[in-house]
Amino acid sequence: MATDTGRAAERDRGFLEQLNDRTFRRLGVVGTTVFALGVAAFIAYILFIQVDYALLVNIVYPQFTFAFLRVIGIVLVSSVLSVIAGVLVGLARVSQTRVTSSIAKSYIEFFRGTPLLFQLFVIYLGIPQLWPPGQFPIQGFNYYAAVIGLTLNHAAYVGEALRGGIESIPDGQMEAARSLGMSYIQSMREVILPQAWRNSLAAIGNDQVILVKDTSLLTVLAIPELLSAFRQINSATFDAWTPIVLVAIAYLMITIPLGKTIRTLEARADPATHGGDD
Amino acid sequence: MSLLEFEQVNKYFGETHVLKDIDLEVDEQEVAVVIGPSGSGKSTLLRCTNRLEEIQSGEIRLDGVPLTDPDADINRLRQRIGMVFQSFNLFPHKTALENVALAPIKVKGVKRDEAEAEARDLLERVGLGAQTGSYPSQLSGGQQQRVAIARALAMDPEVMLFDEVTSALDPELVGEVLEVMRDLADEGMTMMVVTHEMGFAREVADTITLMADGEVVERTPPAQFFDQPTTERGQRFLSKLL
Repeated sequence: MATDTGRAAERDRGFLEQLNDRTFRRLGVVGTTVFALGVAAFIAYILFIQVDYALLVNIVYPQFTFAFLRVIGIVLVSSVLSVIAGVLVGLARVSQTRVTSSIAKSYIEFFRGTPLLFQLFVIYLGIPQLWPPGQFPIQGFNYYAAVIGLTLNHAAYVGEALRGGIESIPDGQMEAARSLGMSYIQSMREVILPQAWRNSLAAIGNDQVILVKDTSLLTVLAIPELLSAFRQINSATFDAWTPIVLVAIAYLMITIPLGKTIRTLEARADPATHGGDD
Repeated sequence: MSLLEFEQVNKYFGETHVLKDIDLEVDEQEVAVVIGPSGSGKSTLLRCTNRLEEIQSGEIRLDGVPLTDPDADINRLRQRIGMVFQSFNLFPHKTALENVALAPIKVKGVKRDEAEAEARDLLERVGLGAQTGSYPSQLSGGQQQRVAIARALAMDPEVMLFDEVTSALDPELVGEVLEVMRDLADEGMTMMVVTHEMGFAREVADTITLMADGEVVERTPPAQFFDQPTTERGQRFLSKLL
């Protein structure tokens, strides 16, 4: 179809201008395939050449299994607590009362604005020092510090996510609920929060996945979690790849099902919220 | 004594004086239609009546009880005042039935079965007996607005406020909503209606209140208003409509 002058014009244009959608798609397929093959080859090399299976069997149990269970335990407790606390932070954040909302805002600013590692140190090293030397009463405080730190930190993120969800609900919803005689609390619980929760679910889920990965910082609290196990084995055997493979599998065994659960919750929340004029 | 009384009501949005010394009385069973150009304060007047907006001075009384008293139990008073909004404001995560039954269950403590039976009757009454299980997103605008009316009625209010309830509707859906309102008026409900539907105003209203620039300009029976407004402002408003 194209005339000679047309072709000439096409040749004159740069590469990006010449790129049509079909070529772009093909490039995408080729690019991702090459990448995937490279990764697959690398993984195969690691699994067949680098990993020491005798060692692997040796460390899976008890060391890695216990570290894995420990991480799951800490995640479960901190996750539940951070969501509960986060809802309170979110509610305080949208409060009409200036004092309440600005305190919630400062809370969020602090916990989002300083590193979690630092916050963990503040709790783990700072709190016991408020007692006279040697008199701090709590045994195994590192576990408490871990849960407190993860909870306080992630409550800030959950609270902020929920605030976004609440603010995305039109004012008319609260007005309609209040005009029926429902109290602020009833309106929040029955009308606003169920909708806001659905809107915030993706962001809250995202944060909970990050919480799982944040447990790797607990190695500095002398908690034998997955990365501690890795470092111990690595320094004892000088083998990096065998424990690396185990660490990767262990984290993915938590985060992939967690992501799936969140997507299921989102899908289940969907039917009632699609469309609607208000 | 009138059911609803406004006495020297003043309302400001920042510097803007949106309601100026409003004096108004709505009798029991009266259908008071409030009309006027946009920005005249008529919606604000309704919103002040159930304290979605606060007034700065004056008093609004329901059956002699001051609504605007800061110590008034507003949640209790609001149960006696039904409100229907321009944008429906149905709860999108609840079915039509749940929308209607929610407040009776949560606020009045009615048992779920009873509240749902009552809600079914109300939905039947507004012509939506077949849509009880539908979510708002599955209903047309006219249907949504009728659910909203049923929801307000479920609290058994003494007075109903309608805030431009047909303005967001496609023209062919306006009729079904006005019909429900007409039935309500026939049954003797006290109603305060802000609307641009002059046909409805002429036919159903007991009184027409014309507002302009935050003031009540004229308050007359509809026959007189539409025939020969007493004020010059009323004549101007009417001439623009024709």
